[in-house]
Amino acid sequence: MTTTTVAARQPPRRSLGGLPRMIALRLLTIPLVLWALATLVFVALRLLPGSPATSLAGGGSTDQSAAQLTANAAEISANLGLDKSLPQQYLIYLRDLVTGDFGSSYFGGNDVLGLIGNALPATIELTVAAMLIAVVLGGVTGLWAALRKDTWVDTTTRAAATVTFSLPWFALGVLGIVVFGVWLGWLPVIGRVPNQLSYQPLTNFVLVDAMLQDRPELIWPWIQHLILPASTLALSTAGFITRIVRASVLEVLGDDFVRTAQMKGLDENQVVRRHVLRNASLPIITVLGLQFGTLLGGSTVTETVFSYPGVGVLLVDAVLQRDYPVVQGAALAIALLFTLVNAAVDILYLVLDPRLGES
Amino acid sequence: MSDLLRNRTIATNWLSAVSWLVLAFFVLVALIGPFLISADPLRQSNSPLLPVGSGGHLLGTDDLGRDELARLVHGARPLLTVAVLATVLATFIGTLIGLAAGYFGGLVDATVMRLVDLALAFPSILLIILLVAGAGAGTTTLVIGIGISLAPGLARLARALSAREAARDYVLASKLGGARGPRIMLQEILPNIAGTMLAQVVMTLSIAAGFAAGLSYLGLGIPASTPDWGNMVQAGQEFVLTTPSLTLLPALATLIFVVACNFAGDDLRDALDPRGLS
Repeated sequence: MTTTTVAARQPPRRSLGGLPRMIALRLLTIPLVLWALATLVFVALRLLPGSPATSLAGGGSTDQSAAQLTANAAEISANLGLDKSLPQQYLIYLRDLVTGDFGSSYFGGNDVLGLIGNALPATIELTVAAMLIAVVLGGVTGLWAALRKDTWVDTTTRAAATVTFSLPWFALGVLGIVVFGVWLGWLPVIGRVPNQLSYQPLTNFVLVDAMLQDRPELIWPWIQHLILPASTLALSTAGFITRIVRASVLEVLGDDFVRTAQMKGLDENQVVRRHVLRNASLPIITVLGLQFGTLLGGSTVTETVFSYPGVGVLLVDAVLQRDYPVVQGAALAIALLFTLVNAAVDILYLVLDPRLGES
Repeated sequence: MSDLLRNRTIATNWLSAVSWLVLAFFVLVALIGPFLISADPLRQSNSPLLPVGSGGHLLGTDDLGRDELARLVHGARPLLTVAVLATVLATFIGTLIGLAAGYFGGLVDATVMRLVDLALAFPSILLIILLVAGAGAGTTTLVIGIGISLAPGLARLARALSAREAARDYVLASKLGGARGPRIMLQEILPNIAGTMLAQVVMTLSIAAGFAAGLSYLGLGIPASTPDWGNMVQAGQEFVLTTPSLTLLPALATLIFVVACNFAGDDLRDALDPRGLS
C-alpha cells in the first residue's frame, strides 16, 4: 500500500518492526474484551432485580396459588443451577462458555448453539450488505458534495446527511415497507428467501450455499429481500460517511500533490481516482469500525421490522419470552461478532497506516 | 459566489425555522393535546380499521375501533417524557465525566476516555435490551438504559470543551485565588461550555426519542396498554396491506420529530459554536 502520494503527505516512515507486535497486542485484547462482555451479560441476566426463575414459573398462568408458584420456582431454579451461590454460578457459566455449552431453549428445548448457527449468518449478510450500501452511497455523495462545494448539490447533500443522523430504524423500515412494498410493489418486505424456493441451508450463507449447491436461482430473490432491510440499516451510517468523505476530500484537494497533479494536466477524474479517493479511504475505515456496533444494534430492530431470521430477532423474541439461555447466547453471539470485527478494523488500520503503531 | 452563499444561508434559516416550529408543535401536542381531543384513545368501537378521513374519525380507527388521531396525540407524551428524561440523565452523567476528565487530564483523562471510546463503539441497543431482559420492561428501565448508553457521546464533547477551557487564564486565576477542583469545574468551566453542549443535547434528544420508540416497537419499552408511537407502529404493521395509515402515521410522527430535532440541534450549533468544535 506504500504509494508515492501517501509518502508525499507524511513524515518519513520509521522502521516497521513494531507492526507485528502491535497486531499481536491487539489480538491479545480479544479474549479480554470477550470476557468483559460475557461478564456484562451475566450481570444483566442474574444480578438485576426480577429473577429469571420466578418470572419463568409464573409465566402466563394467573390461577396458580402462590405456594405452588414458589414451589415451581424452586424446582426450576434447581434445574437451572440458579439456587447456587453467585460466584459458583459465574464459574459454571464461564466454564460452559469455554466448552461451548450454551444450554438449550426453555421453549422447545432447541440447542442454543444450533439456533445461533442458523441465525448468525443471516445477520452477517445483513450487516455486510448495509456496510457496502453505506460506503457506496456515502462515498459517492460525499465526493460529489466536495467537488461541488458551496453549490446546491453540496447544500442538499449536507442537509440530507444531517437528516439521516439519527433516523430510527423501525420507522424508516416501516416507511420503506409501505412505499416500496405496498404502494409501489417493487420489493419483498418479509423474510430472507421465498418459501417456494425451498432453500436447504448448508452453511446458512445464501450466496455460499447457492454456489455449493449449484442453485443460482436463489441469488436474485435473496438480493431482493436484502435491499430494503440493508438500506434501512445503512442510511444513518451513509450519512456519517458522506460527511467524513466530504471533509477529507476537501482537505486533500487543497494539498500540494493534488495541485501538482492538476498542473501536470491530469483531468478531474484521474486526479480524483489516483489521489483523492486513496487518501480518503483511511477515515472511511475508521468510521466503519466505529459504526459497526451501531449497525449490529440496529440489526436487532431492522430484522424484527422485516421478519428477517437473524440473531436480532432471536434475541428480541427470547427476551419477550424470557427464554434466558437464548437471550444469553444471542447476546454473546452479537458481542463476539462485534469484538472480532472491531479487532479486524483496528488491524487493517494498523497495516494501512503503520505510523499509528509508533505514536 | 456571494449569491450562492446567500441562498444557502436563506435555505438553512428557512429549514431551522420550520424545525423549531415543528418541535414547538410536538411539545405543545404532548403537553396540551390530550385536553383538546375529546375522543378517548382507549375506547373501542364497532367500526374497526376505518380509513383516513372517515366521518367522526379524521385519521380512521385501528383494529379495535379506537380513534387513531386520539391515539397519536396521546402517544406523544409518554414518548417525549422518556426521551427528555433519558436525555437529562445522559447529559448529567456525560457532563460530569467529561468535566472531570478534561479538567484533571493525565491518567484520569486517559483511562476515562478509553472507556468512553469502548462504550461508544458498543451497540447501545444491545445494552438496553440486556437491561430490559434482566430488570423487565418499563419506563424506568427505558430511561436508565437510554440515558446510560447516550452518556458517552456527551462525555466526549464535554471533555474536549473543558480541556480547552481548563487551559485558559480565568481558570488559572481562579486556581491562584484558592478555588478547588469541583468549584472550578462547576462554577467556572461549566457555564462556559454549556452553550456548546446544548446543541449536542438537542441532538441527543432526537436519538433518545428514536431509541424509546424503537424499543416500544420491539415490545420492550413503554407498556402496550399506553398508546405510544412505537407500539402503534408495531400493532399497525399487521394491517399494512389493508390500512397502511395505522403503521405509517405513528412512524412518520416519530421521523418528523427526530428530523426536526436534528436540524434544530444543527442550527444551535451554528449559532453557539461557529468554530465547529463539536
